[in-house]
Amino acid sequence: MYRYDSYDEAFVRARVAQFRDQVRRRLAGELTEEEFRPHRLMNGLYLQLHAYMLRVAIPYGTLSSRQLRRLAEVADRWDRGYGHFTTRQNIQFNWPRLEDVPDILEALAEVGLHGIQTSGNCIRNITTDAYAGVAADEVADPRPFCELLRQWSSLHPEFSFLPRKFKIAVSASPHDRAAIRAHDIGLRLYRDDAGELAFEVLAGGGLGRTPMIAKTVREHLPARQLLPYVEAILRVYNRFGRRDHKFKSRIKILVHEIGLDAFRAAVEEEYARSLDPEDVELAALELERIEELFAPPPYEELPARDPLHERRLAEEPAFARFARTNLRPHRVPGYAIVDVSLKPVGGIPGDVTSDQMRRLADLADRFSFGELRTTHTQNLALPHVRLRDVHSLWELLEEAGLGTPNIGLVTDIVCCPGLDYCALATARSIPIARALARRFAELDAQERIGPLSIRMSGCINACGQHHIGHIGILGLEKRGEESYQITLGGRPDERTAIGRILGPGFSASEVVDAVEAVLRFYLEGRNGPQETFADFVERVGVETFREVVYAPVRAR
Amino acid sequence: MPLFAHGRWVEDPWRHLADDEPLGDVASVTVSLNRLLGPEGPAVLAHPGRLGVRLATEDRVESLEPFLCRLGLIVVVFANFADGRGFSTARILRRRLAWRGELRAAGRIFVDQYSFLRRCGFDSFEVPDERVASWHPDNVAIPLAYRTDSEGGVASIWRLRHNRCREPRP
Repeated sequence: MYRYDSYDEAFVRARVAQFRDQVRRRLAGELTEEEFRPHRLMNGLYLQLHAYMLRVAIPYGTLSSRQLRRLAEVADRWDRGYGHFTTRQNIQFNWPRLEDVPDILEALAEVGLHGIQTSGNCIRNITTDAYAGVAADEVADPRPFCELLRQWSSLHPEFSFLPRKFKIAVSASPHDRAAIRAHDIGLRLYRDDAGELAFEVLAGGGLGRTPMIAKTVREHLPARQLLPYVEAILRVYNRFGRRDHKFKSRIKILVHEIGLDAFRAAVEEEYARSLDPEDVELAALELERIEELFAPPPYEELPARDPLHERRLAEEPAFARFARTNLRPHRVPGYAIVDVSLKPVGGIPGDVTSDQMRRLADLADRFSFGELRTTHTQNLALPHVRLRDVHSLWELLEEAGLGTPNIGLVTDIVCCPGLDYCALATARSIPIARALARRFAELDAQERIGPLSIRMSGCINACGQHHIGHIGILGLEKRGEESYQITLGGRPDERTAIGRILGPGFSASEVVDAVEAVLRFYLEGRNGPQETFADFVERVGVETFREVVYAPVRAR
Repeated sequence: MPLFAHGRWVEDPWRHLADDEPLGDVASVTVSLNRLLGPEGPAVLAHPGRLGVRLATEDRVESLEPFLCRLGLIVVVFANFADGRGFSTARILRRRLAWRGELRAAGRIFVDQYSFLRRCGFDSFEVPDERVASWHPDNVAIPLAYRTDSEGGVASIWRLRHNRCREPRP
């Protein structure tokens, strides 16, 4: 994985020193909160309901055991012993004190982590497939491009005061596990007819109060031209994106208002006029350097199947269940990707204690070349586990309360912090997620329901990405009461779709019953278990659910 | 307005004309883009002294292209600190249009933007009166950047890594 050299280190340390001075000026009263705000935001520091919140970037979701141990130390020393993984592969600490933040950032800088641009109207952390570099179906590792984008966008002189925040995601597989169509820019890496790496460039996706699916701006962009093209998109957006209204300032509104053709023409013209061959050449050299750092770990040469592993699968039903839900195919024979669920029944989705972080770091060292991944569904993964080790790993995960076999199932709920933490929230989301998890805790029933993504947001800003959940839940406030709106038909994958509203919202006490009614209707009506919930909704339509959901729930 | 350029406070040799102020025979004047593009344009261009233009935040810099060789100063006004359009204006002038005259930032700029402004190619700064006391750019500058915009005394890490380090442009 990527390792900082002395320049990366100097850069991040200079940034910490700069922020330390800004915090000092704020505490001394030289900066007003209004003046301080853009500085703290661009270093990942929010002001929440009860306290500051620090969001630390985990670039493209790749994390070393050393970094995870440092995150555990931060949680213990400066926070309350836990952290929260987000839908953009980052981690948040909910209780830091302002005067401690420079020290926290310095401690993070020592292990190559930072909070740069995890907030504010700038280019945010670049996200990608959590299984990048190891997925059996990918065309190339997208992370070198992500790292190039990270460096390019860090303290970008031109694009640090954009109309609104700007999110870029990269996918390198036919199966999109990074929700690139829900991003301001989505990049799909593929091999063209000549066998060369190229990008399909999409723009104008986003969720929030006006959800939109990104549209293709360029079908075929030679991979080495990535930066100038992305720069052209950003320049068009920076100049012509709306700044008159916060809710209309994302690039999706610009693309929508001027139309895809006009937008594309503006980008292509900007790209053609500003292209600098020297920039392209230097970026290509830097990409080569980065690619070397992403060289695969020293895998053993192993047969594709492991007899011991297979015997245990046959003999131990609990292990077999874990393997069915939490194992993913690895591109190297004899290895697997092991997902670690952060969604135990009764827990808070995405939360991990410092003890668990340290245990996971140890397990990563022992079983996965010291490497972990964060996923955009708020889970973790160990990306390089020998098949023969999966059983030992599973036992140790179980011991740490991290062995929940529910990846991709009904209780693997994506959920924002909601009104329990967030100043923007209009409703609680964590208690609803917990109630749902309790209702569907039974593991056989979860597997019977099959692949399902429930995603919940506590306000219209949609951090829980409810629009693209197979079942989306949006918490609103109606006349002083929390009201939960259900959407169906959303998809987070390569066929990204925005869910449609089922009907009037449910109260906190009704919403779990409503979800159960939705799922009962699906189980009764599906064409066998091979018809997934998403396919079923597509076939029968959202309307058919109305009757079966509202009558029984309201009758109770 | 106090003017900061090349690391120190300097006198502003330019006179910035309001749209209804006559050109007169002042040696160095700036006018608005509207005035330059309007009916008075030819007279403005024929003015015997040095000529500069003040761009409002929303002005399109491309419309200056036919006049660039006549201009000694371009002032880019930032409407507020969160409005970053002026950064793109500067970048286009410096890189795409290869304009080398004095480029000045004005309006609601603050000292913590100094590195960004310099890297985009600004070389002088009209600092709002209330921000003069806190204008210490050296305290907030970050001496390194990844990208190749080696302007503003900020070294490019990519150039350093790949032995393409040139003298940063003044």
